[in-house]
Amino acid sequence: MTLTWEKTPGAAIELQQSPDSEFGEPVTRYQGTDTGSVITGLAEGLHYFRIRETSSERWSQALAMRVEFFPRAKLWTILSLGAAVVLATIATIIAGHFKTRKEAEE
Amino acid sequence: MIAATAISNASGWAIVVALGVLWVALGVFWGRKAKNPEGFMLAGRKVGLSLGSATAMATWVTSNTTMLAPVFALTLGMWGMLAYSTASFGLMLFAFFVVRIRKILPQGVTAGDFFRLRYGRAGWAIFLIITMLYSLSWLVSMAIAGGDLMFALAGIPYLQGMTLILVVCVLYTLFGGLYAVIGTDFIQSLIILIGIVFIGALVVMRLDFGEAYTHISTHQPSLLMLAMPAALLAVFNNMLFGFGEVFHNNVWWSRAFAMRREIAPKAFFLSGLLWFPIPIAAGFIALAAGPLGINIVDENQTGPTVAAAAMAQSGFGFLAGALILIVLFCSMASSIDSLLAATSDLLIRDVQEGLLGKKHDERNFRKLAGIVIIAVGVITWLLAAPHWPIINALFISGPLVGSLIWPVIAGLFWEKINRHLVIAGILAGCATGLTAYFTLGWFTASLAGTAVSMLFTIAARYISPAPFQKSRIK
Repeated sequence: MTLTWEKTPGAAIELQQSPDSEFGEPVTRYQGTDTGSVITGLAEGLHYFRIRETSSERWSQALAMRVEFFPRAKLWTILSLGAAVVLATIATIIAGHFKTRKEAEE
Repeated sequence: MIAATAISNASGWAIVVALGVLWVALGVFWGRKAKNPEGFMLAGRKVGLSLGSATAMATWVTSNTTMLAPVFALTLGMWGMLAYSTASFGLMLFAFFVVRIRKILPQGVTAGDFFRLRYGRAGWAIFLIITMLYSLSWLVSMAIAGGDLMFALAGIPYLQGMTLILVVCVLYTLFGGLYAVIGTDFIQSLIILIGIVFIGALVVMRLDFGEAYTHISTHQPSLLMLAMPAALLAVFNNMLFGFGEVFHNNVWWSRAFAMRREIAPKAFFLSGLLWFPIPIAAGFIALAAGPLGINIVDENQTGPTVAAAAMAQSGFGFLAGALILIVLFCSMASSIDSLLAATSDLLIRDVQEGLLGKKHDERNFRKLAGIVIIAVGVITWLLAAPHWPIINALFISGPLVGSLIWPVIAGLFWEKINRHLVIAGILAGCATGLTAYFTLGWFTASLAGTAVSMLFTIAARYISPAPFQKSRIK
């Protein structure tokens, strides 16, 4: 996802992330003058983000985001199908190649 | 705009115009070899191993490889990088097709010849619709990426940048046909490889791997997960999308007809091997963004942003914008020219001759080819000008091209088939794949389309099969 924000022109900001809404153990995700940041690779669960201009102590309201992965049962079913289709495709091509090559030689 | 790397507007113009003049001059030079239609469309069917593998590799390095592979790595992690690289398996497997293609169609010119011979007019018409949708969305997506890149790197307005890139590619394809496309692809492939290796080496030198691992496992833990669902699904989906793209499209068939018969399988296999590490290198550069403290503002500009920042950190900031522009321009040009040539061949051979029944006059062939190449360029420009998010159209074409995988395999290697069932399978595969795209997600669409078409094609081998037509294309 991409977080974007508005700020005073030229001002530096700090973007923090935390697993709890009280920001007990915050991690600074970005510090600088950009007006957005692409966030990827989050673990499953709830994540909170907040932002402030570094010249100020006032933090924005926290933004909560829940990350949910594709249901596991559905995942393994589709993966099995994918493996079967890919293997069948490759095997058929290789078998077809050797069969028709043999025919050509005969 | 990528502020850290931005080159001046004038420098951007100068680089692209200089490269453009070079490609057009080479196009005119090589174009003199094309004495007849076969020379223009198929480079005289005498392309050797080095040029053959280089053109296949360079054509497959598109703006999507250099721009989208980093996005895959940034959003899907290790598996995402690998998923993108699996597209190379399509080229490697096509090596098995080439011998058979040349045996069935010794004088073939386009992929349409094969579909017309194996699946009659109905199957051929469906193939034409699918391939034109796919080819145009691929062409337009690259023109748009070119315009975006010119704006991001040099501040050149989108419409001007997009037009410039398209005009350069149309011009040298126009003058040189496949001779020019293959010759320029060779040079472009070298530039792409050198550029990516250079930028990758800079990133490796800047990176402490222990710290990078700790940083990613703390801030982006899913990127290192062995079982990240979307990434795992992307592996099979991308592989099948790649199979579908390569197996059906005239870009690859025209190369199969253009290469010397004995070297063609080696050339395709080698091109796949050469291509395999490119998305991994491009993806690795993107994965280094967090550990190197590089903030990504626009996901679609991940690759150029990280490459530029890494070069600036290594003291090559003054070169960054120019080098990135040259590498990306080459990756776009090497695909746009191939698509222009292959799509115009298809329009001349299949639509003009096959559909409208008009035989082309050898004397007027170059004039006709020129008109068609310009027309394809103008249509691409018209579709790219509104700056629609056409990349989505390219992804939506995944299930469409996936549905053609098994019909191609069966048509090449099997003796008998129920044609009607295969055609029904293509249509059912397209419908199922599109449904999966909109209901489950893009990472399932090609798989769903291919699976359904595969079942129909296998059934067609056993339910009322009829022998394929023996006659060969003259």
